[in-house]
Amino acid sequence: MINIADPSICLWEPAPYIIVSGNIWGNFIYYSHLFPALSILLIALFVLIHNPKGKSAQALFLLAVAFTSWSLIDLVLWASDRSDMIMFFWSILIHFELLIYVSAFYFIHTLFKDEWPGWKSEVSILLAFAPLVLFAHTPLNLTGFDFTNCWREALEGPLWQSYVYYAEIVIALWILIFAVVQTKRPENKKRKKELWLATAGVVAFLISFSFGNIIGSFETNWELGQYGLFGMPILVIFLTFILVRYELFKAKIIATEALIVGLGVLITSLLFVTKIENVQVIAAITLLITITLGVLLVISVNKEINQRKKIEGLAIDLEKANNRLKALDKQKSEFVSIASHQLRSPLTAIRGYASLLLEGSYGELTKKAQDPISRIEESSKLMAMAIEDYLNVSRIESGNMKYNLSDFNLREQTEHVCDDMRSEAIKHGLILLFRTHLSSRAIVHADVGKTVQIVQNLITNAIKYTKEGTIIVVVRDDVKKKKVFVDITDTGMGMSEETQHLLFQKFSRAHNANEMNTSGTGLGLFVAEQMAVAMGGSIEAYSEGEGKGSRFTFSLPLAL
Amino acid sequence: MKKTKHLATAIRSTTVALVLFSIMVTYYVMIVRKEYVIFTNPEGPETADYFEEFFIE
Repeated sequence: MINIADPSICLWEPAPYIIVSGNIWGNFIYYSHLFPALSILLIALFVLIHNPKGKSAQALFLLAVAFTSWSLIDLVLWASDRSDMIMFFWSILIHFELLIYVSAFYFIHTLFKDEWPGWKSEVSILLAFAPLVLFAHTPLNLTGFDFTNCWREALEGPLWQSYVYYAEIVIALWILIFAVVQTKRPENKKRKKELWLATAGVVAFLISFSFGNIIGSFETNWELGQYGLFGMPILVIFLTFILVRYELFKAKIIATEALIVGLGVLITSLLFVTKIENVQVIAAITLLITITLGVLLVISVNKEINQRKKIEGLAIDLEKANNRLKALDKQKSEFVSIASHQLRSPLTAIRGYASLLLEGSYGELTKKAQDPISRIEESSKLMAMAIEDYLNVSRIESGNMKYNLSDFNLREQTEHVCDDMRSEAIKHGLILLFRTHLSSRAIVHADVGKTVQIVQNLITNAIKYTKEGTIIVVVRDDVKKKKVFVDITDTGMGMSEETQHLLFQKFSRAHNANEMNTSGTGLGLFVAEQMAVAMGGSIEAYSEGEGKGSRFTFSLPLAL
Repeated sequence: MKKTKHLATAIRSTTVALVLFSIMVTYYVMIVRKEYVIFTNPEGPETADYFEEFFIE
């Protein structure tokens, strides 16, 4: 059956420009179709130009072409005065509608996996298109052309209402499930945020588009259905954001460019579609402002990107320099270690023979000879201690310091150290007192030798830097905190707040330290603190100021 | 791996070809033969008077 409708009775206007005619009342139809189509087409085109071989860029372009084709075909339906044209374009619209969903799937698939879907997915897509291929030209697609009351609408049949709308929802769900599964894959974990944003944009667009069409079809209210198209600007906003934030598609400035061009085209299009003079003026002013601001925006983004590139380059240089410094530091530690070992052996011989000479193993020394030999022994002893400090630093920095951990009584060990060092204190005219405030047995799990070394170091320092007065060593515990503390309090030269901050750094000495002790290396406290920390403890220093004495607190975790 | 990729491409090409074929058939049916039903409303304007309606064997 062939029908030729004479539209003259209905006062339809001809559509010589296919999509432009007086049949489209109100400019909203153009706005709802052209704005989303132009925005996605521009974004996709810019992305494709900058990254032509990228599969996701190609898929995005396919999505943009499918959507733009759909929008233009739909405009023909609104503008045309010919029933055959309306029937033809409305019939083939079903292909483009499904193509939008399929290309959205292609886009998400290529974005996640950087490859096109496999043959199984392609078979599913082929099967999805099969009913359309078989029945697009039959009344199952469009039951007929509605001329009722001069309406120019086709009536959608079961191919739309019972098939394609459901197929669209299934594909949207397929995309969502695919994204959920793929996000869990380890290779996608780093890009999780950008991939989810892209998926959210695509799904939001598809849901909006589906609802617009479903409402339009079932309610026969196509004006309401127009709002569904605004899902596309939502996708464009998501894409723009991830383009700028995550440099998706390896694109940098293109989002801003595309956005500005898109706005320009949109506002320019308004100049042509509106018939109200004032709106044209407003649109022209807006266009001018948009172009000016757009150019400024592009320049500023360009500048920012260049600066970021420079900073990234500097960061890479800095990392290289840092690695080089680390390598040099390691070499230095190795050198110190080797040199110190080489020095230690002859020094042991010097100390040994000096000691034997003083003991008279090689005959009685004259009084004149005793003094220089004593100095040789004393100096070699100091030198051995300095070498030991250098070796300890070297071991700590290379991670070769060994700790033999065992349970022992910290109170007993500290008391032994005090007993051993009391004579040294007396030699300097000082009183060395030992006290305890314990509610436990003060058992700690640490290296006995290292612990003794730390306590010795702290008491030696107290003796060195105290001219007169008392040194009090207190062992106390805090059962709640499960810690044992050794406080070494002296009435010595004290230290400023500034010195307290620098005290545990390598080669750090108080500015007035040389007044009382010239032989220090500035490594003792650094080594002591490193060893204490390695055993789970700490060393803290406190002084009210210069000349007001100091207190050093060494703590270890309570074992029992 | 390469074979399945070729297979997927072949299926995709088939889908595109079938869709294009379907569009051509639809063009022939709707534009050339104008083979579709026009509905008119008995309660509305007498729009049926403005159709030339005939049958083709």
